[in-house]
Parts: sequence; C-alpha cells; structure tokens
Amino acid sequence: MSRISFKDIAITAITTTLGSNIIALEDEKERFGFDDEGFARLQRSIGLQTRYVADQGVCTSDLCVQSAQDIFNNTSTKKEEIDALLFVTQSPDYKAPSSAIIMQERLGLPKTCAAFDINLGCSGFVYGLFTAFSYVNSGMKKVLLCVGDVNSYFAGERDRIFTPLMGDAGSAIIIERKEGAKSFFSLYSDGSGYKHLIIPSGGARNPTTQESLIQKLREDGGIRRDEDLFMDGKEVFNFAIKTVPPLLHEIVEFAGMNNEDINYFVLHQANPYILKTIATRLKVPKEKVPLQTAQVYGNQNAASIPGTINGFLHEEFSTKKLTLAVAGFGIGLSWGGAVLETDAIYAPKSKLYTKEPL
Amino acid sequence: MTQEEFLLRLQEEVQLDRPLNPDEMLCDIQEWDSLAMLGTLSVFDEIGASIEIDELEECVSIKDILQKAGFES
Repeated sequence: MSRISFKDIAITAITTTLGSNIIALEDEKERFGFDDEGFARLQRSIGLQTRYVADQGVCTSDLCVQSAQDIFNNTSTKKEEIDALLFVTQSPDYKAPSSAIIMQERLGLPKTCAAFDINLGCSGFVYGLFTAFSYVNSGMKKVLLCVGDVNSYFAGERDRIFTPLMGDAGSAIIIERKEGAKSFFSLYSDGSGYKHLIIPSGGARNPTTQESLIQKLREDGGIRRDEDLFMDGKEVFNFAIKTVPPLLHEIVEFAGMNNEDINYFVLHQANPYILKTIATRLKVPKEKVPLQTAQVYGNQNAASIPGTINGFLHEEFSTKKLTLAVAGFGIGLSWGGAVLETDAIYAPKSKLYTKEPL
Repeated sequence: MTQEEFLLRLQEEVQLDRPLNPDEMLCDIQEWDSLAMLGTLSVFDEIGASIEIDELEECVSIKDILQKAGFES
C-alpha cells in the first residue's frame, strides 16, 4: 500500500477488558508438560509470569462490549454518534453472521451504524485503526473499533508452544474528528508465509473431520488438534525482527519525524524477547518501548497495543499530549505501522471482565 | 567487546553454568535450542553485528559463531 496520512482525526478513548482468571504459568507446568529445568529456562529467557484468561463461555465480543460500555458511561460520546462498529478478531461468536452486527444491538447503537468483522490477529489493531480513520475521513462522525481475542477458541489447551504465551482481552477505541491531529499509516501483507501461523482445519479448504478434532503430539513438542492454531516460532521471530524495525523507520520518516519525536513505540506484545530485540535494532531507549504486557497479561493478539496503553501507560495517555508509533505484526503474514498524535484521552487502567453490566 | 566477553555473554544466554570453548560443537551442547539461538541473536545485536536466524543455523561450532561475530578464533 502506498503510505497514507490523515489530518484532523484522532483516537479519543481507549479501554481494555481482561479475562478474569489470573493464571500463574508456574501452576500450568504440569498441564503443558514442562519439567522443572525446562520451565526455569523458559522463565529466565522469556520471563512469562501470569496470563489473564476468560471463563469458559465468555466470548471476545463480551469483553469488547464491556470495554465499549465503559466509554459510553464515562465520556461524552453518545451511542447515536457511532456511524460504524468494526470488530477485529479471530474468535467471533459464530462463523456467521459477523459478531459486530450482534454487538450493534447489544450496545444499543443505531441501525444507521455500519457493522462488520475483520479477520486479523496481531496486526489487526493497526489495520482496524486505518479502516476507522478512513471512514471518519470519508465523512462518518465517530467509529467504534473493537479488537481482541479469547484464545481458547483456537489455542490448543495442552499446546506448550503457543498457549502459555496467550492472554484474553477485548479493547474498544473511539476514532473521531480532532482538529490539528496528524496520523500516518503503512500496511503490508505477505501470503507466502501463511503456513507459519495457521489453523489448518475447520474452514472450507480443510473441513472438520473426526481426525481434525484429535489431539496429537506434534514434531515441535506441542499437543494440539488440526483445528488449533499452529505457530512456527522460529519463522515468526525471524519475520518480526526483519520487518518491524524497517517498518518503524519508514513510518517515522514518512511522518517527517525522528525517533526523538516519538514518546512511545507501542508494539504488538508478542513476547518480551522479540520486543527487546526490536528495541535494540531500533536504537531507541528501552523505556520508550514497553514490553511487559505479555509477561503480565499474556499476548493479547489484536488487543495487545491498546492493552499495553491501558495496562501500563494509562496515566500518561490520560493526562498528556503524546506522539506514538505503533506496529502490529503476525498472522497472514501481515504487518502495519502508524504514527499517531493523541491529546489527553479517556484511557483508564484495564479492567477485569465482570458478568454484571458496569 | 572482546572475544572472552562475547563468550561469557553467550554462556549467559545459553544458560550454561560452565565456560564455552571455541572448539565445542553445537550439537554437543544440550542447551543449544531455539531459545539459545534467540539469546545468541541478542548478543550479536549488542555488538552491532546483527545476523538472522538462518545464518545462525548454518553454524555447527562455537568457532563458527565467533567468526560470524567477527572474531578471529
């Protein structure tokens, strides 16, 4: 895609709702079949501590509806101002229809609101944000962007390769007109790597069979079904460290800025190890690159960038005018970056999911 | 960073409790796995000699890694 910039459009609210079970990885050693030595090594290397997991039966849309309701309860945004609801997820309520349409009714948004799902993972926040900015640029008043995943939908329950990294979260973001704000986007995709992160069965290409539902021990040591997500960690790591530093250089340069002008580089929180490597290659101070989200909450997929803002930067975003660079990268393979300007916005600390309405 | 310092950092990242010898074969090091490779990449980054995983996979000994890092040994 050619690089795209927008004027007078900005994010004005970000909220994140977390799965309500806080699980220490230590307590999952047996489930994933780690011996003491292997587990200690994993912890020293990647530093995973806890992950927030939703109760069985709680869907991503439930987390996002709570996040969106928080915004309607605590800001001046009115439901009738929402012209579009975009829901970026890989864990929809149903295969069809789009969960976004059901969320329109649950949230009490007007029928004049366009609503649909976007099937993306770790790059999804940036893709969704670009779509939302484009819609506001084309005349819509406010767009509600919801992003996130409940990973039990596709993460093998005993898959030691993928599942220990993952946490459940759903975020809501309001995009609207804001005089003076500038933003810059660049998006990419490369389908040649689609097998590096994939749920092989359960779609039209490889329909569900009895075989696809059997848990099997795989070559990489993970136990999973063909309907669970497979991740080739080496390829994904390689992809991330090759593409993200140049992407960020490109987008910061396109914005006419340099790294000193950026207050924070908020990147998809794959794991701290990848982020540490990217930060080193970017040559920016480590305090500008938050990397602890996956250690505390788990990898929140499309919600990991807003999840980092609500998890660790909420005071800064609530009180200051900031310039940030964001980058999402993952399944597809797809990746995208943006430079954004935010005024003090509604960005409270992440909240646990509660079945009772807020 | 000297070669000795590089080897020490490598030892930390591979999480070995003994010094590494340049003549050691990687296949003989039980701890040499994907996590160790990621750690090795970060040591390369520290000395400004970035390499990719594919290049690291071509190495069969500690000596090969030292050469990739620009050390003579």
